[in-house]
Amino acid sequence: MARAKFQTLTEQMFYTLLCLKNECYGMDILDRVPAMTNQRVNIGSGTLYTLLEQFLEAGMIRETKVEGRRRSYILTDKGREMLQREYFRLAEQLKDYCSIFGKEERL
Amino acid sequence: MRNRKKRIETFSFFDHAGISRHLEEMASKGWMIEKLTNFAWVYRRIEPKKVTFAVSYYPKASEFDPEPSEEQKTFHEFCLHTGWKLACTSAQLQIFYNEREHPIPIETEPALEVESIHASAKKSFIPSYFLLFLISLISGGLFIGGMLRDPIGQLSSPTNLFTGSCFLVLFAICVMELVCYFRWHSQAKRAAEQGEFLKPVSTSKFQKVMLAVILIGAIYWVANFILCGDKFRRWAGIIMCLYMPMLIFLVNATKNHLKRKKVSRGVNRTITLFVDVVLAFALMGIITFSTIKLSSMGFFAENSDETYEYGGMTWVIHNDELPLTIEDLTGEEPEGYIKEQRGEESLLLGEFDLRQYPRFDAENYKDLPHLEYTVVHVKLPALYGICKEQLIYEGEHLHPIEEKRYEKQDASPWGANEAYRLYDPQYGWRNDYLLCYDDLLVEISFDWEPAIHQMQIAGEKLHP
Repeated sequence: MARAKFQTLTEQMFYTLLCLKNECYGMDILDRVPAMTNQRVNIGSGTLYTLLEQFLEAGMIRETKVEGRRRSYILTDKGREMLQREYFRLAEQLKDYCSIFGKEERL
Repeated sequence: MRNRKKRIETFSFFDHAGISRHLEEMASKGWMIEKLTNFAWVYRRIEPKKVTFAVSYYPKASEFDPEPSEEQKTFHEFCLHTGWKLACTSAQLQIFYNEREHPIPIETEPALEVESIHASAKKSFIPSYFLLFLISLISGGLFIGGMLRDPIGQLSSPTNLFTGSCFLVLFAICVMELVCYFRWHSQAKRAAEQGEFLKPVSTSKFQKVMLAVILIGAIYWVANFILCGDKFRRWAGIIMCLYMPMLIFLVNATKNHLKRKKVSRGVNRTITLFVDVVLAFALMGIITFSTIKLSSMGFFAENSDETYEYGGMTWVIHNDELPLTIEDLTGEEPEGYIKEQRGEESLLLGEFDLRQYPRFDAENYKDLPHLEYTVVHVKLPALYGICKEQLIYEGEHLHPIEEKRYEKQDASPWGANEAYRLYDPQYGWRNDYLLCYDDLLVEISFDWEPAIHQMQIAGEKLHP
């Protein structure tokens, strides 16, 4: 079944929103995410462009500054809520893992 | 040494993986893509190098845009930030190349890539292919319908055969492209839910074969018209060869001129569409008018054709070569006769109507003998039965209220494999015969009842 839009976040959505806790140029996210994840997560430029458009449309981020074609964004309350929900979902998953395998088997 | 070259490429709109792979091969051979036009892809010469290509889709773009929008330029800048340089664009298609060794792909989220491709396809690829599908379905259906009703007429005409085949090929391409697209789209969406990318299946080879079929057909059709046709057919062939390219050229020139003038997308689209419709009708009008005018001036008459006046009209005295004449049958040399041959021949069949009749101004016109016959030359043996059935059916049902039927006769006087004679329950035997030879069918009508020796002469002359 198709994933309802933004009901859960993919890794790339999650990190993009995370970068926008503080005001940030869209393009800078391309560098920040790999730096933040020790190169584990990379976001493609086309993917980021589309994600920013969709987040904006969904009211999860808002534009703060436009300098020529450079635009900066910041997380809105709705976006923050989404991010928090995702955090709780991941935390629940982690908790469930621990309850099954115990703390000693944690990576 | 040429620094630019053009190639006709046959990639599906959605085959981003195939296009990228092909452009990488071209770059490794020293050719960098520069421009995508409606006719061909333009490459410029470079030092052969290994570069990575990526095709991305920008749904908001249109081929009528005077230049990329600010938003689109932002998208290009995002790509440039990760080393992806813009090679060229064509409507929603954005082609980038990257000289880094292991570049981060432009699209890293499969679901978003499928969404972008589908949004772009909905704007251009799907509506245009559905339209072509409908046109080819109707025209191809008419061709097949015509072939069922009148296989001899359809298959002996190179024009009908060529245009009909073109529509069937177009139909096959449309079905293939649309089926492949929707299949890929549904599978790619499912794969994306698992976080996987799905490459589209390439239809390039299929399209190449179909293009080759059309090209060979076009060459045959044009050669047949120009080399073997009469003056009128040569004229029609040349004009039709010029008509479509001229129309496409003028419509494209209008669109590109408006783009250079920075006219907005909507205005450009409206004007180009308007010009397209007006030019299509205007050019056809000019061609029709000039053909009628030239015809009335006698431009299409063969130099050897003489004419005579009768009933206030001008009649051509045809003197075509006929395989069987009244002279052959009667031994007399009647004067003032017209010998006329009309027909067409394709690779599959040839159908010729041959007539010998007196001039209309002849004093005893009604008393003079007439001879009329149709010769069908079957080149593809598989069509023999169909052609024979059609001739029998048409002979028996020429006038629906009459109940005529072909009765089998002794074929030996004709030297034929089979011979049929038309029987009319009201008036008895008619002097209309159907003769079946190995690769030849002849429908022949006499003004008189032919004697045995006349049947033998006819057989020898028609099928030596």
